[in-house]
Amino acid sequence: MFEATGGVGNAFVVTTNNRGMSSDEWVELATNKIVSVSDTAPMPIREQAMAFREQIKYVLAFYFKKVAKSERTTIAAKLRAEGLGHIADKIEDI
Amino acid sequence: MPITQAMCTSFKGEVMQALHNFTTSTGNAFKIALYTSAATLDAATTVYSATNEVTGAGYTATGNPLTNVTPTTSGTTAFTDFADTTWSTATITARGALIYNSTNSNRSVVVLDFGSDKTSTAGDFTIQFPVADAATAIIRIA
Repeated sequence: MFEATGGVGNAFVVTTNNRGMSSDEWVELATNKIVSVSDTAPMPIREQAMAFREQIKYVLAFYFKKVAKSERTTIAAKLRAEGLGHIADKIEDI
Repeated sequence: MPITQAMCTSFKGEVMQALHNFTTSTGNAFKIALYTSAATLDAATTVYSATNEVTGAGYTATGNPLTNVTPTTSGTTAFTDFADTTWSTATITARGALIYNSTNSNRSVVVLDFGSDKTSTAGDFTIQFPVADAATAIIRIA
């Protein structure tokens, strides 16, 4: 007899109110996908993996914020080109 | 319990009939629909239903399309994954979800239980699927 077992993983839900997800929230999700540390891993390996995880988080946070800022700059430039400078200023202030 | 996380029993039989293909791009189309705590979803769920599906701004009935990740294996376990999905500017509350095959008669695949009601108000409602490995992937056959 050959027997197979089916498994379903646990999905993680993130919600926000009156705003989109922040770059820090996206960083957390991205880091979860890149580095997963098992609770049962031996301590030295676990510590090394956690340190690596923090480094990845730092790098992602830096560049995700740059992406968000660049996106706002592009939107503001387009709004200014349409004569909507006052709205562009508000977007750049976010 | 109205929503119980499970791999649908019908799905297990349908896998043996080659009715589900999770290959990226060339496989079947899969969707994820959200449900309120009033829904009854469990291993006995065989097909997508709009009964007790979430309603609200930013959510369209039948849910979001998913992006497949071609199944792979590790050791003796086969598993597959999907890209995370987001409902933007959504005002909704969901307790669980159903992943189903929209190419193939909306046949159910797995039921997800979020553990509690999750609410977004004019914001993002994002589902992140777990790390795709033999121990944690969203859909595994060992």
